[in-house]
Amino acid sequence: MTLSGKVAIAGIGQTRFGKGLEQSERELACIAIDAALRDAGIEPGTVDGLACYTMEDTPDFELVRDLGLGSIHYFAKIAHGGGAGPGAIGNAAMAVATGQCRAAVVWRARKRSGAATRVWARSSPVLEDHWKWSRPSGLLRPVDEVAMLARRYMHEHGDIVPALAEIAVTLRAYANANPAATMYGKQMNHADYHDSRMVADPLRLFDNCLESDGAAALVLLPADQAGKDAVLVEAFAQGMVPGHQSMSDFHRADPLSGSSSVTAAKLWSMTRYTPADVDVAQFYDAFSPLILFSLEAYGFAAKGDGTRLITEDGIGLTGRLPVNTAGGSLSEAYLHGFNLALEAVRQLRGEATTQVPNARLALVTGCDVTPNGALLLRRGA
Amino acid sequence: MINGIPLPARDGPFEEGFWAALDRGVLAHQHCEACATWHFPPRWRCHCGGALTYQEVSGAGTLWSWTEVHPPVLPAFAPFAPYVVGLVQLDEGEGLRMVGNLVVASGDPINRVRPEQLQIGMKVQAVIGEIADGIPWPSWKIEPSIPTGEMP
Ligand SMILES: [Zn+2]
Repeated sequence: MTLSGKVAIAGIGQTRFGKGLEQSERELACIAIDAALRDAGIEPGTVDGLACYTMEDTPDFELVRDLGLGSIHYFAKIAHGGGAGPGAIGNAAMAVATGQCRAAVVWRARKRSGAATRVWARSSPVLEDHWKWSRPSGLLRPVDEVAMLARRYMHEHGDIVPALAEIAVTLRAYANANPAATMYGKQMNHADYHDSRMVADPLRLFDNCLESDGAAALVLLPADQAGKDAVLVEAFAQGMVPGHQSMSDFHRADPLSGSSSVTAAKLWSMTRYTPADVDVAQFYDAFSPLILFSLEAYGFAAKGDGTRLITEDGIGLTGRLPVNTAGGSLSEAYLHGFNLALEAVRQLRGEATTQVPNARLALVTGCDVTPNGALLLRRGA
Repeated sequence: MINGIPLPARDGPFEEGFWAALDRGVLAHQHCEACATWHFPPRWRCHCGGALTYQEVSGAGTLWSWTEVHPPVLPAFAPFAPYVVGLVQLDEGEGLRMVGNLVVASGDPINRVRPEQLQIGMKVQAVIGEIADGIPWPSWKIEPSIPTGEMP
């Protein structure tokens, strides 16, 4: 028994994305969920399932009151920050598929643009958790941890800077076609990328995600209650490789082969589709190297060959694999990757601002350097 | 020592032997007799099921990777930025790695070593100092044969 075809993503909704939005996180969540419910064409009172990230601050019961949702029979929070998005959607899909609930809402709302809200900036003076092994040495931010792996990757497989530049420029170009994107109307070329300031060598400012306020939500229904051309969950997997620790995943024999590799193996084992069938991919991209690492982990390129896929085969609309086609976390908005899932749905509906012609199969992944998950979505008809 | 940096709690599970060794000025890690495997960070038992005991390690290793951290950083680190942080592979076992600052001599500031002096795979040696009162911590001395450049 698998999830294949049993559950539809029947509605999507989002707020405006940007810095310094006036609404609270809770109100942003309400706006996005309300839009998703209207898109799905269902009444709030029919919702009986809720799933979100553990890092979500708004209590689910407040949203039940705020929105007039029904009696809730499934509520779950999925751990590991940027690794959680596909897991939150996939777990809710499992609940819908098994009848634990009949209509599930999954959401992410953030007000991230204030510097004091950044997770690493809240690092307490005494570290009790695994950050004790790295932060006292000044390895403070997620970007520093990813830079450590990026530097090692370069040692083993060669220069990645041209590929990182290509990622940043390509995602910005997608954002320039997407009026909802934070970076809509703000051009970036390769020279701009190389001129941007270094943050954690070899990673520059434009290798980093935006700091965004906003919210996004989607609605899951049993497939037989959605239209026949609805977007269906084809497969879902989560993964945590033994020896892993979140972000500073440095203590296994091969840190360059992380939790994504076990997530991918599980995902592909649960579907008849293969990477070659994927029309469009939405890779979690808090930092540009995560796209490179994920391309390889999910089987689109051999280890060490991802840079060639990016710079020669291409990740733009006419490239071999269009990636993060709304601009992603680098240029659309950083909602812990949840906006990536909405873009996958728009692609499969044929409603994307940079539409991949006849897109039928889309991959959505969580953060490569945390415990994570992935979703394979397909168009029903 | 830098005032105001985040400090590691010394009372974490399975860590007693780690801190006890550092208090004696040496580095020790958990070792499994049954399968001859070294482990860090500390854990309950070996993945093979074997019991773990703390054994001194040589402190010899190689530079597995590094980054140079540029602002913005936590205020305590700001006067030193940009500074290099290393990830060291200890000679005892694959995957036995520690994050730490690189120095030319014990007591050097965290920004003493510059990227130009670094090569992945170069030899390093643990030197135990204190990052705060009562908190011993290893830094990693780069081989003196490598040109050390000018003081920053
Ligand atoms: Zn063992």
